[in-house]
Amino acid sequence: MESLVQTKGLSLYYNKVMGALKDINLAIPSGRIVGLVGPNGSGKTTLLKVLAGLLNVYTGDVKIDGHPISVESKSAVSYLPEKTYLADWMKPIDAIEMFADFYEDFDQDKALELMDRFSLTPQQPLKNMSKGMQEKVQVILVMSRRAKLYLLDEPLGGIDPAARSVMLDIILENYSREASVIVSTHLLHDIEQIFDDVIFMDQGAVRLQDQVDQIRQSSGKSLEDVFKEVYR
Amino acid sequence: MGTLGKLLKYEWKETRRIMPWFFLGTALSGLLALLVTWIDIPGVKTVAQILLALMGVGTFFVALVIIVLRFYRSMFGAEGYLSQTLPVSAGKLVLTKFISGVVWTGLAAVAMLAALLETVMLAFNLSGADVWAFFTTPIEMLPMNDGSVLYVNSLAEFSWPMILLSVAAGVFYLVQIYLAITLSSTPPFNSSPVLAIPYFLIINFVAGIVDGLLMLFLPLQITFGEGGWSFGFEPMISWMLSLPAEEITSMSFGLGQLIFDVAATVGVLGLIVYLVRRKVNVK
Repeated sequence: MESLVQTKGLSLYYNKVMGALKDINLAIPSGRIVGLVGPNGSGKTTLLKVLAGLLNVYTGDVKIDGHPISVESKSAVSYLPEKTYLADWMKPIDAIEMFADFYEDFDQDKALELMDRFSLTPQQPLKNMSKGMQEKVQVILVMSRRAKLYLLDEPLGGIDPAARSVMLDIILENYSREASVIVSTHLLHDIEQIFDDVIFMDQGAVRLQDQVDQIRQSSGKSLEDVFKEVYR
Repeated sequence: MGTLGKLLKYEWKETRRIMPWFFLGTALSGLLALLVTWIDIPGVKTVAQILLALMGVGTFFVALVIIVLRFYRSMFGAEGYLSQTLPVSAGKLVLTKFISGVVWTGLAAVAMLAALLETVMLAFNLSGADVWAFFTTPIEMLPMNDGSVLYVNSLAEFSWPMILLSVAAGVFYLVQIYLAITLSSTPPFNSSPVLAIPYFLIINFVAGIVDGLLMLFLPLQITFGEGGWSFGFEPMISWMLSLPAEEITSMSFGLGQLIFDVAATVGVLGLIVYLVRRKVNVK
């Protein structure tokens, strides 16, 4: 069976010497939650941007749900970037309408329900919201799709610690079981319990890729301890 | 509604927030200038007329700046993270920006010309009939050797190819700006978005040379003379080299520039689509 995400020899160079991604070979099946971890500059965001279709100058093969990066692959991917990407004139209700217009798998009712759960007002302009509130809106939009692949770049980064567990619940509750989620994070402690698999990245290369249970069993340590050891 | 229609809907939602205010400002300035000229308040009248001209010109340049900034932000800036991950083709994304750019700058150009025309009419106390006569009376086009002048074609008849050339040049100008911005987001030219400025100057310089050469040397021209206008298969340079002649009874324009501008607009749009699809890295 073909993997949901497949990369073969994926490399990306910002210039002749500085490699952002080096020979990445991944095969991620459906139904997995994958942690993408590594220090700043290790290539996590770059890898997610390639999968989302934002970086086009790379070598190697990339396939999402059997399609190269294209309109078809973008239909299958629900991408949460690290930065806020909604225009500041928008209100959440405008963004919800926009997602409903462009994504057939977008569930408008679920988005409004999640807005309510986070005490967010759909009519409040985004420019009047804090960065954390804007990030919550984006997480809600992304997780209200029934996508095949969710790419979440630091979803807990700008969110206060109290809201992190609620956010994790939302991610877990709302992704469909046939889908996979790739979550990049440096907050391993807060999120490691939800991972099925983990990919450790360093200097643009995959340092370690395995099932979380396997890592814990073979090392006898928590994922965070293994992380500290790998990046010591 | 197809995806192009949806993209245009959101483009309209974005641009309608600012642009209509400038059109409204120009219209109100026009009314104010008309009112104070009609009441005849010296001093204030001149200020109102200057304000009208400035509003008209300002509206055009604001429209251009908004369209250019919008193209950068929504394609390659933070909003590019949304637009470029939507399940729509690069062609439709670029076409949306192109249609929006042409419509808004076109409307702004019309508003500017209308404001300038009203300013001139009020400043020189011209009536509508005067303006009509100005455009429809045959003009002194060419001096004859015996000292007389040849009256051929009214400005209205004579100016339509000029309008066509200007529109084609204006649209081509817009896609040159889009290309420069796209190049500034394309490796290895993408170290800074500010580089779009020198890229545009280079593209525009090269396009200007090609425009000029084709206008002069492509053997296709439109000729205006006593009998109206006609197409010919001579290069414009031949007509120019015949000046001064014993009897000049016509004036010719090479159509190479027009053909090049239209073809290059299509070609450059295709190049932008290719770059967005294959070469651009959204930072």
